[in-house]
Amino acid sequence: MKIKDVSVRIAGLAGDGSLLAGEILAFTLKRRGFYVVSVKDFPSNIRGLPTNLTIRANLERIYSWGDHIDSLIAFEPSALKNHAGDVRNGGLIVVDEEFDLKNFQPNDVYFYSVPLRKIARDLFRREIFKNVIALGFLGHAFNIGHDELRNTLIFYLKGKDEKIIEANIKALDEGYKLAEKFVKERYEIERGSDSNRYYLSGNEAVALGAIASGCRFFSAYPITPSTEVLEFLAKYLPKYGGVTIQCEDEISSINMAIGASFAGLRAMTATSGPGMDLKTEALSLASMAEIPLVIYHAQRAGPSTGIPTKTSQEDINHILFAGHGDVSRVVLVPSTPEESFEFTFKAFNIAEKYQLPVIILSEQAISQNQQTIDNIPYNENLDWERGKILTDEMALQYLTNGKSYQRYEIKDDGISFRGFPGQRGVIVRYNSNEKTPDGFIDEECEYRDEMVKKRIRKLENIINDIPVPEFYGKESAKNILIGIGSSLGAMKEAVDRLNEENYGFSYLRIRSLLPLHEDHIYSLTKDKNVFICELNSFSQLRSYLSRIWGRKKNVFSIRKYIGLPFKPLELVKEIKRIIKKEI
Amino acid sequence: MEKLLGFEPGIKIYEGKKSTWCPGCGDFGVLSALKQALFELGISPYDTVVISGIGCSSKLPDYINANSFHTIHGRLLPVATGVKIANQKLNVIVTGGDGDGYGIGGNHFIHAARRNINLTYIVMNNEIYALTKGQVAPTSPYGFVKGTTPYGSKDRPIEPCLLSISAGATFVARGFSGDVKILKEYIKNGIKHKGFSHIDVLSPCVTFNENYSYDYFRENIELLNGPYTSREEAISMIMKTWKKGKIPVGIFYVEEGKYYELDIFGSEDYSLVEVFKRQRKLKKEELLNLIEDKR
Repeated sequence: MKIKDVSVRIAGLAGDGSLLAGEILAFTLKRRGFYVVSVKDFPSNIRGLPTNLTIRANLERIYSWGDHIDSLIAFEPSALKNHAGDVRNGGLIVVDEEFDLKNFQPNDVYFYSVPLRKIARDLFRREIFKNVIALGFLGHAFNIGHDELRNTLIFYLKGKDEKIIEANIKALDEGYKLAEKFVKERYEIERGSDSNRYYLSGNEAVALGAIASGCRFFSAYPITPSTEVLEFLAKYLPKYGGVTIQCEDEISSINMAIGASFAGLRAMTATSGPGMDLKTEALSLASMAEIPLVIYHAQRAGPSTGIPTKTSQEDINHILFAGHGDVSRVVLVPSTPEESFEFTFKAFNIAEKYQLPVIILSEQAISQNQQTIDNIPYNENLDWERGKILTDEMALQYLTNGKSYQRYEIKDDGISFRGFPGQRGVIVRYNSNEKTPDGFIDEECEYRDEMVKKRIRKLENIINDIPVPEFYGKESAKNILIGIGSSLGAMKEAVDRLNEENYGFSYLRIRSLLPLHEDHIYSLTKDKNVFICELNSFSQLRSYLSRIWGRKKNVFSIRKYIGLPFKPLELVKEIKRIIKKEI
Repeated sequence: MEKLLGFEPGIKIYEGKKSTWCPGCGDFGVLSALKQALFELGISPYDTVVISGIGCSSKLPDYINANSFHTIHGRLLPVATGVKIANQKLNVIVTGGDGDGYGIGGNHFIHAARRNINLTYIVMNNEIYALTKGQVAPTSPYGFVKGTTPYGSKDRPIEPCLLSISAGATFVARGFSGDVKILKEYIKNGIKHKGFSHIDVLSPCVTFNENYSYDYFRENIELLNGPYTSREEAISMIMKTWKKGKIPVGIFYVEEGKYYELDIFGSEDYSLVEVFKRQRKLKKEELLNLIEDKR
């Protein structure tokens, strides 16, 4: 039987080339028609600390990296020690023959100890080539056409020196030859129908979404795990007349975006936890001055510097509540590259329509890991909804009608027309202070009450513009699992498995935290046992959602905080344990 | 005069709200010099944006008839940078105090200077935090005794003009708000200059800083014979003047050349907001071309 679901981990130390080898294999499998999910587990370090990439490929669309791995390539003894236990029975492990294996007892796996480093040294004088030799070895073991891997290899090395490309091709050949000598049984990997899908990270999808949304000003400070947005837009925004600026700090980058928005552009900034700490005062400003602004926030493990390169859902509280005073905002939470794109487009429309900051709350596992997707959900027919904008003609009318323009005019829906500096006929005044309708400091607090009410009225209709939670399963199921972001894949597979065992499960994936579809969530959960999974230790999601149920008793937390997304089996086991013990 | 459309010509067109500054505040002189400078240059209120931070002096935008953004403490330069890049046709004036610009906003000050963005930054320097009722500022002298430094400040003061010259500003001057006529000329030159113009203005706080009165400044300032031809010379002349116990004023340094917006857009006439207004959504095919190497 041909294999339809395969997972491989390539593990070593930073600088070993594990990530590159893994990406090449992933892309080759994608071109073979598989859906690929990848999980990078790497340090905040350039060389010398443990790094690995896990890829899982399936002929059906998957969102999770699965539980076990079928194959492991370990470039270091520590990598073997740490990951061999994850290899399923009947799987395959490739290590370097120079390892001291005295204390290692492989399970029931095909275990190959082969001269990766030796060949690299003998033929290329550099051990780094071991990664491509190992890739060739795996290619043979998986019965992947030599040319398929070679094509991807060349594709990935595009632009490199000819000699380096040639050496790598030779290293790949050597890997195939080596495997012919060693491999006892080869796997047969299936082939899918569509080899032309995209393999994209959340960061790339957000950057692309920004361009599609008409964002023409992007200012940011490099920070893991969102820097790729800055790199992508630095390269492509100028093509559309736009500007990308790497600023002196996080504070400057959000304030520049605010300035650009004030002047009439669609503007965005991007960051992660520590950066958002610094941007908070400007978040409060954007809310108070009623500036449309999109903030992309990719969570990483905290607090403080924490683990910069690993995922978390620890910033839920911060993103929902950051800023002094009654700061209004919208918080959208994507799970996939498609949603990262789609929510970015939505974010710009919501920001302009309601004149406030919109935060796209992602996380490292989505922002930096690549996935195969069928399509970019770009609908040419969706408009840039710019909301209430004062046209030049409308501005000129102020010259004849004897009225003066008021940036913060009190309106029934709370939303006033935005004029822009430079327009003839209007003087446009923005203010971080509480203000009069025409934008002057309200020194005598004459308008405080009206202004607060105006800002609250703006929020009333946003719920109609944000993504509703995704419900999966039968409404009659007596148990429901709730989660956000990267938990999607594990939730889906866990629910399927639990249902196979007649546990009666569904899941609800929340895609907008603010505003929250409270009534909808309540009606789907009120009579059920609720399990909330989240990647933090404080149960931040559960605490936030508890407003929906009050003191409902049968709500249970499943938490993980080691910097990696959930695996399906972890959820299944924990749910079974809770059911056995508590219900 | 299309630029002044809808306004009766005359300096009154720049008239804003009545100010709430203390009577005799140095900032009145700055406001007056700024309005006259705009008037003499014939720049319309429509084309001008005044962006400020937090503090007494940062309330200036309310007192002038022009587009404005009263932002947050120390962040006026980043906001102004965003505005200027979005629409370089605007005349962007940035106004704030010494605590705002050299203290909490110090990092942005250095980087705006080094970026050489084409805007005019006027700092009303009273060597004190006044809006919070009198505390030591980064410009206050060593040994300064106030509420938060009852035993005398142990910090040495910053020399903002030395800082901006060495950071890369291309127009650096210091004026005195007691001499509106000269200050107005500095501001006019600063506005006309293409690049980052930094004008530090000695602006007495008559309520909380009796040491630095109009009389004190009149007696102690020394007008330098600038602008000097090199940064080194400007720095050296400023330092020599301080060593003599005098406060250097004047236009210290001017350098013509490429500025930030010209560098990124390649033209003085390019307005990103205008370009954006004319843009239509991308065709799907066009968008997907950007990620062609991702499949």
